[in-house]
Amino acid sequence: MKTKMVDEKQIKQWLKEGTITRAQAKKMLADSSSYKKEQSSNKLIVAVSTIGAILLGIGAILFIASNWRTIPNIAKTLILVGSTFGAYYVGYLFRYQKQNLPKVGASLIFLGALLFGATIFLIAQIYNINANSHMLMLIWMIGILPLVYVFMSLPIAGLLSLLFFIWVYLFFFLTRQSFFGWLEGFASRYFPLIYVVAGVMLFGIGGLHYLSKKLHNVARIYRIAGLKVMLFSLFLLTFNFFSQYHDYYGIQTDATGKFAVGFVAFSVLAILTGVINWFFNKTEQISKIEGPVSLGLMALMLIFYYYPSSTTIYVVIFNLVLAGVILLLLYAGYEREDMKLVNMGMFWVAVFIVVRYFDWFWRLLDRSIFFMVGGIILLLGGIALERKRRQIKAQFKA
Amino acid sequence: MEKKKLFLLIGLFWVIIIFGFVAFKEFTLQTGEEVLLKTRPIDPRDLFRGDYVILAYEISTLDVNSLQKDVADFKQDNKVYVSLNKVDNYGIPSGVYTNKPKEGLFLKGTVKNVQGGRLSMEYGIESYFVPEGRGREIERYSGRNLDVKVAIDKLGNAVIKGVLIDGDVLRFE
Repeated sequence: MKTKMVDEKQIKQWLKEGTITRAQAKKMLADSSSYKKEQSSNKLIVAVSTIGAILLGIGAILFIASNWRTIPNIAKTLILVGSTFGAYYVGYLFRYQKQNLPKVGASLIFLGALLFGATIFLIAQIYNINANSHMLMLIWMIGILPLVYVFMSLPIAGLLSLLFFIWVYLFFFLTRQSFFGWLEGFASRYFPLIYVVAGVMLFGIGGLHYLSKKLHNVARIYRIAGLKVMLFSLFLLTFNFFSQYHDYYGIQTDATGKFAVGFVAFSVLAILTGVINWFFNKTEQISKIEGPVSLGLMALMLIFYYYPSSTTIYVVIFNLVLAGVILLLLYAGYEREDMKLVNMGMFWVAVFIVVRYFDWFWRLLDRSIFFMVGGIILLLGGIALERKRRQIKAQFKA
Repeated sequence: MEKKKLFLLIGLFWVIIIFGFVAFKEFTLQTGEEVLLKTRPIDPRDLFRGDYVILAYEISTLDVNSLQKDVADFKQDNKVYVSLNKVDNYGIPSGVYTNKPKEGLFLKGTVKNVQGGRLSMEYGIESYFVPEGRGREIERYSGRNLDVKVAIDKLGNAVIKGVLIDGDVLRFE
């Protein structure tokens, strides 16, 4: 559980009220200052060592990608397997056994998770297993999943969320081995649809983690990742390119296809987690509006999937839904004094306004007026958003 | 359970995954029957797993009307088994089935697309990895006989053993 030190303002207030003596206030101020310094130094260590681990991981993946034939396959495999287990072991040693470098140890365990994926890719390369196979991503995810729960590793939870969304793309959209095979998925109306469902699902799964106190931090990582992807996908659906039905693009699916089965499975999971969180998860981190919103979104996605329309009805609906979700996000952030949610909400308010302005006024206004008005909106909007954000932040601190 | 035990269990889990993965492919390589498949390279790609050539086999497109089959219609994402006859070491398709054949040589695949009586197939052997920057070299061999030697095990799984240009094994030194 995160501990919080009292701040300077509060200590001065207690001193003024006579709750504490001057000597006590002095001691508390000194403690608070050294705590802050330690916190900031800890954050720096975590940031530096995590970046180091990511760089090493990328290096290992590029080493595989270069596919040097001068090093025999067996040697490459041994090097990578050795590095994977080496990073994992030394990380454990630093963090838990000797406990002398816990932050660096956590980063090394994270590096182990990255190298494990690199090892899988190397073996796949040696045996010429199809590139872009979703199975490789799945194996990587299964391999690192226990690390999240045994070591409560938040970077690995983040990595897992990222891999999950990449896997979703490979599983649902990569229908053929070619460059165009990659592009086809993005140009499909099912692309944002699946990601809204996947986002709601991960958000719901994250919510379930609140049932255990130990998993609160992991829960937040999943929920934020799910929320971000869901918002971005909803945003895509506000364009008629994605939400209006065209028969000249969109991947072919039928009831027996992998796509349909996957979509139904994801929907069932998203609805189930939504229902459990709504009715049975009484933890304070779960807002009362989450359940109905998640289920409402799922209902909308199912209607959108089974009843496509060539009219602009869904464009209107998704614009309204996105606006509603952003407002709810701001409300939830404000209610819980959660600056991250407020920032996310503000960001989407800005994006939504700018994009819709371009959408609606590009043809209506003269170009010079269009840009000038746009500039004024951006400047004034920027000032207003920044002021509001600071105001809310100050309110939360008080 | 104490952390050390869990740490060791995860390590063991990784060992099982890595060696299981290798063993699965080695089983096919060691026990599989060698077959040649006529092919042509489509284009080299450079994604984060490095350079690879996309291989399109003759059997990547099947005309179901000229083959034996156990169902009238095939659908996208169907898992199927393509039975092969060996003619001069080349694998020639003779049938396509949704149920695993009891005997003979067959290759496991997935229907990626159905157009009329033609099936676009994927067998999991469509990528051939080459050293960085060497992908385009294979394209230069267009017009010559390009074959891929694969090992197919009794479960229908295949692993690429090598690429042959006019019968000679292609090597990258």
